[in-house]
Amino acid sequence: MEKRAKMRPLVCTIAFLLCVAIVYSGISSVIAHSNEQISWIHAYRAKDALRVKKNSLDVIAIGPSSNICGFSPMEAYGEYGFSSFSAGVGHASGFDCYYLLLKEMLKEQHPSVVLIEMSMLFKLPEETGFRVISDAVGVTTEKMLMLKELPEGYLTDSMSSYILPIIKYHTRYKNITSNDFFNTAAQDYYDYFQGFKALHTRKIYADNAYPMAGSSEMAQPNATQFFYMQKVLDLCRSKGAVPVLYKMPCIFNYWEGSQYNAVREYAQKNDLDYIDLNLPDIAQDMNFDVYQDFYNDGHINFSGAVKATQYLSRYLHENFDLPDRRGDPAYAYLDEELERYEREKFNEKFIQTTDLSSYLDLLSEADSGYTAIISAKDEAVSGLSDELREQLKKLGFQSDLTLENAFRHSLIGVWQDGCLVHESLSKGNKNPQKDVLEYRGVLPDGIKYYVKSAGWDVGDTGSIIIDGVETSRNSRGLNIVIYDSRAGRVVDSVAFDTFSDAGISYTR
Amino acid sequence: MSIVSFKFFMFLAVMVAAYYLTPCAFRWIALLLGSAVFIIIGSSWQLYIVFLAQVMLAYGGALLDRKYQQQGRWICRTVVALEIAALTLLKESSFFIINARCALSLLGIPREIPYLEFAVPLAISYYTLMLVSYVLDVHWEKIGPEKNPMKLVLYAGFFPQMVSGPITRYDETSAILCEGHRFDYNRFCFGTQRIMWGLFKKLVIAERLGVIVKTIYGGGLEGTWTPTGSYILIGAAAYIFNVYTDFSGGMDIVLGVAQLFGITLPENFNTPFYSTSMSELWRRWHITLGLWLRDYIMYPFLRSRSGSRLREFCQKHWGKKAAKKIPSYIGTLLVWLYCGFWHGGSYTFIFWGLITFVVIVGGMVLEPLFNKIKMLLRVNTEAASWTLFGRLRTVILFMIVGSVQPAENLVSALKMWKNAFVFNPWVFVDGSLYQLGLDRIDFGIMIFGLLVLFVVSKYQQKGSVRETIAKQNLVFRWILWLGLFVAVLLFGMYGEGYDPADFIYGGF
Repeated sequence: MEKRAKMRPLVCTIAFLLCVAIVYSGISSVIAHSNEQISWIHAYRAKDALRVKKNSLDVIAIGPSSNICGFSPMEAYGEYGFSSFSAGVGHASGFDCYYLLLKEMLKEQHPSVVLIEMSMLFKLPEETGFRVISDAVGVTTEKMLMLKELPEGYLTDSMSSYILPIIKYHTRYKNITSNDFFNTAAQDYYDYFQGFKALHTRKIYADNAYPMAGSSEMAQPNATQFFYMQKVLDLCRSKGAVPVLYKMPCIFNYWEGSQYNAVREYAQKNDLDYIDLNLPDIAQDMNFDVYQDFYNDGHINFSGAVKATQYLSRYLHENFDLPDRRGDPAYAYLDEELERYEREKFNEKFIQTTDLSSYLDLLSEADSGYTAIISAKDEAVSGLSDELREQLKKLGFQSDLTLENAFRHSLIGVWQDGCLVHESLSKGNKNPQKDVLEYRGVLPDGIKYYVKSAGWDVGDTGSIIIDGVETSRNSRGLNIVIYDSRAGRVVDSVAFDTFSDAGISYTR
Repeated sequence: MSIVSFKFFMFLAVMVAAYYLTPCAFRWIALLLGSAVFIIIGSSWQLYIVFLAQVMLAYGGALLDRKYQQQGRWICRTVVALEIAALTLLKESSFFIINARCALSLLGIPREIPYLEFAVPLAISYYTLMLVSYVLDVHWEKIGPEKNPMKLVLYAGFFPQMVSGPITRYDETSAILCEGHRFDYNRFCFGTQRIMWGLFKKLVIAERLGVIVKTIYGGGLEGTWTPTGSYILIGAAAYIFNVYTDFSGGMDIVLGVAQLFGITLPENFNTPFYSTSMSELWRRWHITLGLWLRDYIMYPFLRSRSGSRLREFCQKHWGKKAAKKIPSYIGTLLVWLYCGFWHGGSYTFIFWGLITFVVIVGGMVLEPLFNKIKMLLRVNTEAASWTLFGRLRTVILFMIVGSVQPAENLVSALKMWKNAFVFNPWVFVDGSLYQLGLDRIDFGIMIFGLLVLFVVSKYQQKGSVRETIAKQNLVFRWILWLGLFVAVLLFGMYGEGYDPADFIYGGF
């Protein structure tokens, strides 16, 4: 009894400290997220890189945002079957970040190749990216050493906040959302695949913006970046992975010949592979298009990423003995992911298509799960060519869409899973009560929609409301919304001005 | 090193471990060394030498006082004068230089006196008073001189006290400090709980109130606003509660830390806002300073030759009653003048000391008149409503008097009083309160914190709250303490972007 009484304080202390630890880690997991200062996707990606199935990666591609939106692991898997992950974090993260993340990843992964994106070698390292990786990694010996090793002035957050992130993030209680509790933010990103985040819009550049122009100069790397690059290379070698340096396409002033020279020379001296996707011959080989494939100066879009990854994965396939995991039950999750990825690639085609004829062709190629809802506004037939009328007929449209019969009329069409499920064309009485068309329906996944079309004389509207949200561009001509029931989202919303021309002018 | 910093708690953990791992007889040496480290980290080794010099002066002075009893009076006076001179020179030299400059300028003497800029040793205002009390107590033969100078160093420099006191007496604490305390589970728990409660007061309540005070007294967020009417009322109320929660919160941490080592330091607060008069409030607010001023300024004055002469003079001219009261009023005046000067060497604080004196002595002088009025109006002084009235009146008086403290100077303090007579009560309801630096959530947390403080203070009137809680069931207790932990963790204003390091009384 006496012994029990003596033990009681100890037991109570341990139990209470355990409760404190549970409460602390519970609060910490909800509140201590880096997403306050960066977007959710980056915070999620950093953690996701450490959650990849143990010993499942053949290739790790690591780098800043240009790597995230440039190297698509599912494209490589679809082409050659090796498993990869696009690791790193945006916000100008440097080699210190890659080192910390890679150190942690390589505890559980044994890749044959580590692709290292070189964009940041010449830039000043920034704390934001390091903070995100550091929060994802937790408290490790390597991190503690790095915190002491990093140059003075680099870290603005206190050392204690790196050990206990809640010191930095505790004031987030004001901005807590359900995402913080259930960590479902990444599910909102339909275009996120194994660390790759697709970018959808494009920026058109002049012909001479890419590929890179030659130079005889030699750029000087940033000392901190260079120091950690060497640590990254040593780390890869010590873990039996071959480091391959590479540079994603970017426009001329973002990556210059002098920088290319510096990396090439370093690679040659150290017997390293270096692939620069900014070289003219590689750009030509990839069929890279300055009008189509850039998102902005330093980033490529989805279409560019497909091209860049195809080139890189072919190189890896040809130069390294990487296994084909397709059909392997242990990698079934990648097969499922690939199916989703291919669908997103198809969806991307809708976004990239800019003329009605190609759009209708694409629609005819679409398999099950797609719904196209069409609502005419103002005037939608003057510009229609005979070919376009023929294409619409092939899709199942029966109405006479000639100028004589349909000028300024209202028009609604709903095309679902390869069939036209509804078609209506107003009579042209100029009577709003009769000539304004409305249609209500249910999409294959149970979502309700409402369509309204009113020609020039009876209201001038082309509305398409899905799940209570207006999705139509509501512009002159044919307003089209593509809904993917499998993904449960609107894939594209576009208006082709079929009054002025044959669906070449568009609003997206 | 701030006592609300991560670094401090790491230091504390090491200190606690070192203390209990050291054999009992040498535990005071662990405290001595730890305190030296704390002071050196908090200031510098040079200032630690200044501190040691002051301690050695008191040590040597006390020994000589006892050894050469005939010259003891002069030795004691010299040592006290040197200690006070060190405090004044290092901390308040600018006050005298400004006055000297003004005097020279008024006399038309074109002489520039340069400002003396000294680094001030940590807690000099506190340990100097402690050393003075030691020297005087030895001189008055209340205690014997300490033979071991290191024990005197520990008495004056025990690290938790090196921020804002309490001002302890040698006979009360030296033996406790030097005794090797065995680990006591309950005492340790009480200590931890008290630290948590102190952190709650400081980080959750005081820091938020501090934002309001800073906004109002600093002329708004841009520093260009002149607050009027209700804003001044809010600022004054916020200031006194800010000082209370900041100082008493700091004291809770200090006393809790001392308790971890088994050391009980004297209390500095006893629910002062439950006082029904200003003199009572000052007996319950900063108790150790009040007692020091009473024992080492007031009583020595009354016992001194000047005091006796004054008493005789009053008796001769105004009778017995006056001979009893007038010297004590003069003593009180000296106490409040020094108290004001001790709080800060400026006319604002001296003015504050003077008006506090006027309010306290005014209350004493007018007491017979008040009693007559109470009798005439048949006021039941036993009723709860009368007690409530007394408390409210005291808090309001304390607020009015205290409102001069945070003002930039005496002129702006008086201007604020003038501006207070503007009628704008609507600021309480039109949302203006949320323009004072705190949003709705922070405001809500602050009000909730003050309510919790009110409830706890109410229970403190009846006895120890921690002991009452200790008698409750385990689950309830743990929920309560975990709740406090969570409140501090989430709602505390600490970490990146905050600077809760400075305690208001640390600056006095």
